[in-house]
Formats: sequence, C-alpha cells, structure tokens
Amino acid sequence: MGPSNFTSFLFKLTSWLGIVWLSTTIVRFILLSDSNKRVYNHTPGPCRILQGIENGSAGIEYVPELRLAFISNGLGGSDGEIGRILTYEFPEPKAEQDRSVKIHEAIPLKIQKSDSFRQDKFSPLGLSSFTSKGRVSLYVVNTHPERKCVEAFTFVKEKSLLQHRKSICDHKFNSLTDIAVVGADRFFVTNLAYFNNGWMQMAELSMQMNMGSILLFNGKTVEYAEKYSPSPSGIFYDTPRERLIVSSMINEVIQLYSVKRDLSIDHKLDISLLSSPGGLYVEQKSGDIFASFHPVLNSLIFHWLGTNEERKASPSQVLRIRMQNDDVSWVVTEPYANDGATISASNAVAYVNDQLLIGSLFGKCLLCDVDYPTLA
Amino acid sequence: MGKILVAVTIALCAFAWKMYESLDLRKTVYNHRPGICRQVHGPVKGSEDIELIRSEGIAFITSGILYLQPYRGDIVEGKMFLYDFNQKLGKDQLKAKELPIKGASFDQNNFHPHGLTHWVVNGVIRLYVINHSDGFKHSVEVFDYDPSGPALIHKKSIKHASFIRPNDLAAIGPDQFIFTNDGVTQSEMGNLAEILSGYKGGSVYYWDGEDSQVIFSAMAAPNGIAYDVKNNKLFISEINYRRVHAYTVEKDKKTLTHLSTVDLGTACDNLFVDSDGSVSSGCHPVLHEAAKSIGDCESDVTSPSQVIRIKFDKDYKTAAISEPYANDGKEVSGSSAVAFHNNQMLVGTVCKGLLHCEIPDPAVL
Repeated sequence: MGPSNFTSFLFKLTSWLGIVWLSTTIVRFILLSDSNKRVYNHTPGPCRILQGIENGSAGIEYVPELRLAFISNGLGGSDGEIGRILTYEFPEPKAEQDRSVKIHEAIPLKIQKSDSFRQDKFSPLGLSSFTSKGRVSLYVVNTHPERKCVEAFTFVKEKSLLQHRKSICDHKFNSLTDIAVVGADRFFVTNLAYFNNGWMQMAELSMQMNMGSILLFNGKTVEYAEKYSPSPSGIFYDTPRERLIVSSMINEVIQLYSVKRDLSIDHKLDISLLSSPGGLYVEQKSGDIFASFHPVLNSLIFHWLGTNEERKASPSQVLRIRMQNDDVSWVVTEPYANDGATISASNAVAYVNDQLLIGSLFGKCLLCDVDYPTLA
Repeated sequence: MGKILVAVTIALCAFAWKMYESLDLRKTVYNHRPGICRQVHGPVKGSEDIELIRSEGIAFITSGILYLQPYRGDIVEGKMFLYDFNQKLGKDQLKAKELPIKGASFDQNNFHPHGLTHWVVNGVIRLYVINHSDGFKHSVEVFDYDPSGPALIHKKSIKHASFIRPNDLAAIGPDQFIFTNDGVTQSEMGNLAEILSGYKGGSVYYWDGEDSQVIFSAMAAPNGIAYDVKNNKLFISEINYRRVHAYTVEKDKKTLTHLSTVDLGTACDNLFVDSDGSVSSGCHPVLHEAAKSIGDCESDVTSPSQVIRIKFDKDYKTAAISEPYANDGKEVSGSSAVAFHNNQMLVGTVCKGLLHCEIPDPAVL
C-alpha cells in the first residue's frame, strides 16, 4: 500500500513539473521568435550593393592602417561552396565627390597553397586582425564541421594574397562564431552554443539554455574566459577603452566587459535591445558601438535552414549605441533597417568615414552613406 | 469537468496572446530621423490632425483635443493653428500661428477639434473640423479661411445622429465628406469594454451636404481617412487591426470599391496623401505606452512616435512600406498625423506638441 501510493504520487508530481517546464519553455520560445514583429525600411543616405559578393558577407573586419575591410564569404561551405576572403578599399576621406560615381567592388584574395591549409574545408565566419610593424595578421573563424579552428593568415598587400601561417584548433571549439584579437596570437573567441550539430544546436537555442561560452587563446592554450554565456554571437575588442563587447543573440543583449592585464574579463553592463544582435563594430574616435541585428528571429531560422537556391528573406537592422559619460546609460539610434528585400539577415557591420558597410549571412554586402552622422 | 478546464485554459491562453499582441508588449522603437528636427512653437496641447494646402504651402492644425474625457473640458482649450511651410529654416524658432475664429454663432468654450479636411469652394479654402464639446457631444464645424489677418470665419455647425463618435473625415466635394466613427461608446470605460470584447462598433458614413448615408457599419475602429482627388482613391486606417484599406470612390460618392488592404503591424492614426499618391501616417508603435500617455495628457508620460509611408503600385494591389521617422517619445510623443511638403515633414501628436523635420534627401524616405 505505502510504496505504491508513494510511487503514484511521485509519478504525478514529476508529470506536473514536466508539464509546467514544457509550458514555460514553449511560452518563452514564442516570445523569443518575434512572431508579431515587423521591420520598416529606411536608410541613412544613398545605398549601393558591393559588386563581387553574392552569396555571403557574414564577417567584416576593418583595418584602419590600410583603409581596407576584409569580408568573409562562403558560410555553410559543406554545401560544396569554397570559402573566400574578399577586400573592399574605402576611399580617402577627401575624395567625397567621387563617392557617388565610383563602382564599389570587393576584390577576392588569393590564398597561398600550403600543406597546413585546405581550401575545401574552409567556411569563414568571424574575422579579426592584428597589425604590428606594418604587417597585418588576419584571424578567421573556420566553421567547417570537420575543422572547427581559427585560421591565422598573413596579409601580403602587394600580391593581394593571404599566407596561411597556422591553424589553432581545440576540443573546446564547439560552435565558433566570432573572434576578437587582443594581441599577437592572443584572441577571444565565442561558441554560440554547446552543441555543434544542427538540430541539437537548434533545440539548445530554442530552450534558451545559456551554454555558449567565451574562450581565450593566450598564445599557447585555450581556456574559458566565461564558461556559461548566453548564446554569444558577436565579439569585439575595443583597444583604446580596454573593453570587450559581446552580443547575445538569444537574450537580445549586448554585454560589456572590462579586460585586465592578464586578459581576464569582468562583466560590467548589459544593454537590452529587444532585437537579436550579430556582428559588432566600435568606432575608434567616439567609442560608439555599431551592431548588426536579426530583428525577427523566426525569419532568421527559416533563412538559415534554406539552401542557396531557395532562401527565405530575413530582415536586417543596424543599431548604434552611444554610451553616455556615466558609462551606465546609453542612447540607441537605428541607422538602417530593411525587411530583407535589399539585404537579408545582416550579420556584420563597419562604420568608416561616415559610411556604413553591412554584411549578411548568405547574401549581399551593402554600402551606405550616412548623410547626417550625428543623427543616424 | 476536465474538458471544461481544458477549454477554459485554451480560451485564457488565446485571450492572453491577443492582449500581448494588441498592446505591443516586448516592442520597442529605435530612434532615427531623416534630417534635422525641431519643435514647433505654438500647439503645446497637441496637433492631432494636420491638413496641408499644397497650392499655398500652408497647413492647418487642430489642437486641444477632448476625447472620451469630458472632465478635461475645463483644462483644455481647443485651438486652430496655421503652419507656413515657406518660413525660413534658419536658427529662429519655428512657429505655428494661432488662428482667431470669428463668427457670432461659434461657441469657443465648447470647441475641441479632432480630425479635419478641406475643400476649395468658390475660391475659398473651406475647412471641415470634427468637434467634441465639453460634454462630449459631436459636430462638424465649417470654417472659411480668411488669409488677410489671417483668421477662420465660422460658417455653420453640422449636427447629426450619425456623428456617433467621429474621428476623421475627408472632403470629396463642396460640403460633401466621408467620415469615420471609431466606436459607439461614449466613455473611457465603455471604450475599453468595446475594445476588449472585440465588438465592431465603428462605421463610415457619407455626408452629402444635407443628410448622411452609411457606407460601412460594423467596422472595427476606423480612424484616419484621406482622399486622393487626383487618383480618386480613398484610404481608411483601422487602428486596432493595424491596417489601411484602399478604395475607389464610385460616381454616387457613397459606394466604395475595395482595392486592397495593407497590414502595417503598427497602430496608424491619421492619413496623409502625398502628391505622388503615396500614403503616410502618424502611428503608435507601442500601444500600451500610447494608451498611458494619451490617457493622461497633462502628465509627463510620453509614448513612442512613428511615421510610416506606404507607396502603392499603379493598381493599388500591393504596397512598399518605409519608415521615415521613429522616436522613443523623448523628441515627440504619441504621433498621430504627418504632412510632407517641400522636403519638409510635420509630425503631429495627439496632445503633446508638434515637430518639424527637414528632409535633405527625399530618396531616404
């Protein structure tokens, strides 16, 4: 009598708790998916598509010393596409009159053949660079399922060439997304989720488990900078202000960390934006944070699951966050928004000389003039 | 018993979801503007509707609305303002001039203007203004514009049983207009009950100069209405359903042929037709904040503002939507109307101020 009643009670309790958990998970997923959200088109000035890029510009890295932006292309390379790195050269600030006339083109870089690098297993996503003594090192997140590495290249400008220097691979690299270099062969890198497998990752993200992570490579080993981070998607190191900026795609926040001498990070602030952030950029002079967003997350899911032949459009958005002097409050403006018809699923952004460069996961790269920089 | 419980739970979930969607919880606005924006001096009690006279480059503005709140009658004074788009956009303060209203039969103390429209009658600009008295009785006041002065000459007061709860009107001929009733109840509590129950108490009527005829009954909260004379198209916004309907006006002027419906995803108020046929609107993107802000006009509570522009194709079947302006409420609160002229934009509000923006590059709209 006793054991049977207790077992029955335990079963009922477990059932009810399961129902409650499932219900809350479903409700949270419904709220997360942005089913009732809408994006309205507007631009900060004239915009044009960058020539030479059709199927992806998911990562952008700007090198001010060269006035050059590196753009990664060919995400999801397991479909047979070969990953590429392209460059776009920003015009000189004085040559404003020519901006409207010039054809804006991205030039693909050759990657020097080497034993240590395989182009057929190269799916570049996040980019970051380090410049020392005029030499530019480019670090590329390789998301190919058989690699899961950070590829380090040296950029040879005269030959428009990337020389592969080494691959940094580690078992902690589960679902690499973005990278922020803080020194020679020292970088932070983000795992969006714990699982790398597509459906397991989707389930993990849907249930909003905070099992992504921020990793630090100190030149020798990979260690956890933050072991349980909520789906970190973009990461950027702001050198003059010694702060690390991390975007959380599922929690819809941008997190600010301060970075100490030993490269440990201290969480300072969360900026809630009610939109899912991707790539980040910091304007050096003002310290303003530019972020690209996926404002309607359910559209992004269908966009991601599509093939290159048939991919559903997903809205794009760029926000600018200006921290106030007290460093605890901010002002948000929206320089760009589009329902997906012009540029779909924006994932990267750079702001250079009052021009906005917006990259997308699997589509085009857009260049916009910002007519009123103080208003945008 | 178990089945009843499941049914009740599902009904409650559906109701909760509808409230979540209707009130715009978890929605926010990101600030952007097409150029330099400044406050316009004058209509501090709002600028609920704006009527542009394109040939003159002037706009009439209603201010001091009284809506479902008769107890505010002593606080709010209804006024008409004139904005001149030809004034210099230098460093000086932009001004809207208050228009004195002349006429022996005009009751100033019971004047609280809402929607307005105009028609040129014998060379004179004639304004038709929806009015709610201190006791929330409704009428349409007819004024002629006297440019020397300038002033408004009150001509007549139109009262009719079909003015149930009028919101906006669009003139389609001399002393002929189509107007919207956005509901049937006459109090705040009644309005809330009407909204929550989903009762479709709104209606659209045609006033032929002598009498009115119903065009639509049982429409859910028709709000803004605008007529495109050039293309003979009429547009009606349905604020609670966040959509705008496009119609052709037939020759008898009381029959409308439905062309298309544009889902906007935001609660759009009054409509403006531009010279290129595009339709713009002042909208409330976060409705629960708008309800708080408009429900207490005298407080400092603000709500986000948004301007939406709808560009129809030539058959009025599909539309491209853009957002020339959006603000979290700090610059302009509770936008309800918009007017574009000469690369300038006026953003009107329900009861808090008036904003002017320059548009140096119209292509960004």
